[in-house]
Amino acid sequence: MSISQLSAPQDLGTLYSNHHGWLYQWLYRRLNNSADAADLSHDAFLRLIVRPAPRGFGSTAEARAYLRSMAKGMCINLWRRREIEQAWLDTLAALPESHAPSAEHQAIILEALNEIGTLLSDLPPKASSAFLMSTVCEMPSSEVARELKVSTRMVRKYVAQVMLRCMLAQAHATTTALLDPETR
Amino acid sequence: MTLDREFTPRFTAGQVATGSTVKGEVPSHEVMEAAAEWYALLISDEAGKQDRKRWQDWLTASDEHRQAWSYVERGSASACWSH
Repeated sequence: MSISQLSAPQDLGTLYSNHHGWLYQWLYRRLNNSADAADLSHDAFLRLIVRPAPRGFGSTAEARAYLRSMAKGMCINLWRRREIEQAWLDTLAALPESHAPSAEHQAIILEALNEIGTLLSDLPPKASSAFLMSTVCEMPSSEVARELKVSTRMVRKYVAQVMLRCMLAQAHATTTALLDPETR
Repeated sequence: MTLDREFTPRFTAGQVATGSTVKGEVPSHEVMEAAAEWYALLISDEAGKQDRKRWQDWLTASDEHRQAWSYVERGSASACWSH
């Protein structure tokens, strides 16, 4: 089976040769990293194989606009993921060794953090750090406050903010399940 | 992490759901916010006996409060950071 059969009506092979170089350059300008740009530009075309553009593309401009908006979303996801990972690494680095979780536990935490990353994306980075230090690492709030150079009152506020987000996400999931007549 | 035994409530989310609160009704935003603030206070090293007593009173005051607290429990557990 040829690639074009997979991605009918648009010939993905043609699409790739016409636009891959352009997309790579576009990503490279934004990310300033050739490995990330290469990864994401390939991912973009893989996504097109899995989920082709509904009506194909009538023109080069149309194809590029579509690819660009897809790539934009992918950049944002990548940045968000990196930011979360960085916040977590910063948190770990600031921890006394006695508070550091095991390597296995750390991997689980990072995965969970990425899952809830969207939930926290508009909160200040210190809020996530305060929450992590207080809950995952069970650090006393006075220590967290010292680390983050904020008051203990602020630490409590951050922890409550993040917890509220988690609760609302849970509530949303519950409501959605209850609205489904199958689960009543 | 898991909540400190001293203030882990004695009921589970399942029991809360069978309370008099309408099934599936989510507590008001204010009550959810209050529950999150209680959580933040209780895990800090600033909470005293008085605070724990006040939290217990708050918890037993209404089904809505208990339901909100069940979300705190699920929030802290589902985040997978329980050891």
